[in-house]
Amino acid sequence: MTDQDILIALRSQEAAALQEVYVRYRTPCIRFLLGRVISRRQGGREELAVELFTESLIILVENVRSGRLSELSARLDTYLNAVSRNLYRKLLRRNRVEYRDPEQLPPPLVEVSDPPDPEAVRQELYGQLKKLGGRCRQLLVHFYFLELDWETTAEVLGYKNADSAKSNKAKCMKRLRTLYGVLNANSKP
Amino acid sequence: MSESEELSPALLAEIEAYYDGTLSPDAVRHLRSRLQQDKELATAVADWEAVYRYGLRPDPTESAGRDALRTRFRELDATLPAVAPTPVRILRPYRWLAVAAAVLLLLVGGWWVMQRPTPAQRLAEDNFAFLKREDLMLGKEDQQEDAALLSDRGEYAAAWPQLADEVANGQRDSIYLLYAGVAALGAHAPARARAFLTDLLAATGQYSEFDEGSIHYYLGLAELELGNVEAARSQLRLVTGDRDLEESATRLLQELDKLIN
Repeated sequence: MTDQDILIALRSQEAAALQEVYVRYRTPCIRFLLGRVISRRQGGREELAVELFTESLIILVENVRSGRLSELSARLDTYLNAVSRNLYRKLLRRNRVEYRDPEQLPPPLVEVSDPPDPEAVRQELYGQLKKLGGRCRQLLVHFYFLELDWETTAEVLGYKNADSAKSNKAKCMKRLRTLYGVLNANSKP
Repeated sequence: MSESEELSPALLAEIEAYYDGTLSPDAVRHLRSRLQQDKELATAVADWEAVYRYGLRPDPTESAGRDALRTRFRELDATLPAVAPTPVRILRPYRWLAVAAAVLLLLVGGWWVMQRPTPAQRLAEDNFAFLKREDLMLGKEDQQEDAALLSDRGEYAAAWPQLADEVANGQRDSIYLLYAGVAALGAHAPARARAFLTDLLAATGQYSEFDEGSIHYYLGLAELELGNVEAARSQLRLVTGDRDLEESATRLLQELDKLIN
């Protein structure tokens, strides 16, 4: 299965295509989780490994179907292992149900009487992300939507180290703000 | 979004840090108090923070699809055999001895290698990190097979003379002296690196604020490799504009303080 075949399968609404991906990657990912990630003292390790694998595949499917992830920068099992490992870390900080939800946001800095329409904000942002260039778009999607740690992000996207990935993310955010119309090129700190 | 043009990069960085969870409680209090006193600024901040609150995070409207996928995968999994963990290999005692001997050999070899450069040179080498070009953030189709790519691939010794020649011939913008300098440093040619970066600094206004921080940082590393600790400190103190680089420079300055004292 090539990367392109995998992307098509993840995007597909046909049960058979997705089923093939699930069956192909289930054993290696679960073995990785049982062997290297989930504590041996953790109760119900086998069931948890299946759950983490499933949740990580769902995250990847969502990001591919929404168009946020348009190409794979590493093998699918690398993604599945990294995303499921991060989910396990989240589970250790939270509980068995909440870890699957997106992280809670801090309270807004500014309370507004007429908040913007979330869907309109999302559409505008996704439109600007497309204009951002492949490298920056991939970096922001990996950080914000796949919630990968910096070491994994650097490894998957080919940055020298986590610091380099972080530094590039700051530059990409600056570009995104410029596209978004927030920061004009001549503004001063 | 026209009001938002008033947001300074420093303020934007604070908002970013707030949503990354890295802004200190004191800084949060200070920021909130500032926004309460400036309604116009608060409106501009509200516009931009909406991007963090609604845009840069998983879309809650996708949760229905998520539940459907969970159900589908659960049904599928019930039909598959359980996955047994890979058996753990247990090393026999004589193998442990072989491993211990190999580790000891590596440690002794490593110690010998580490003793060779001076402490200042070692600090410079430890703090050298590849600088990605702005162009690399563009799509693959925008990249050209040229000297800059040699540098991107870590082939520094081949990259820096070509980059420097191309700037001298007018084939490239002078900002490529930065990448030539970084490549020269990567190729352990600190004197060349210092020359390129100093030339670039002399061309005032030919680089962005981000790049200026990078120039001072790598110039500091070049001075360190040359054993000019004071000159290195002067350059590292000038690193601004990029939070990560500033942190690296601050850390390096602290390590230099320890080295001197």
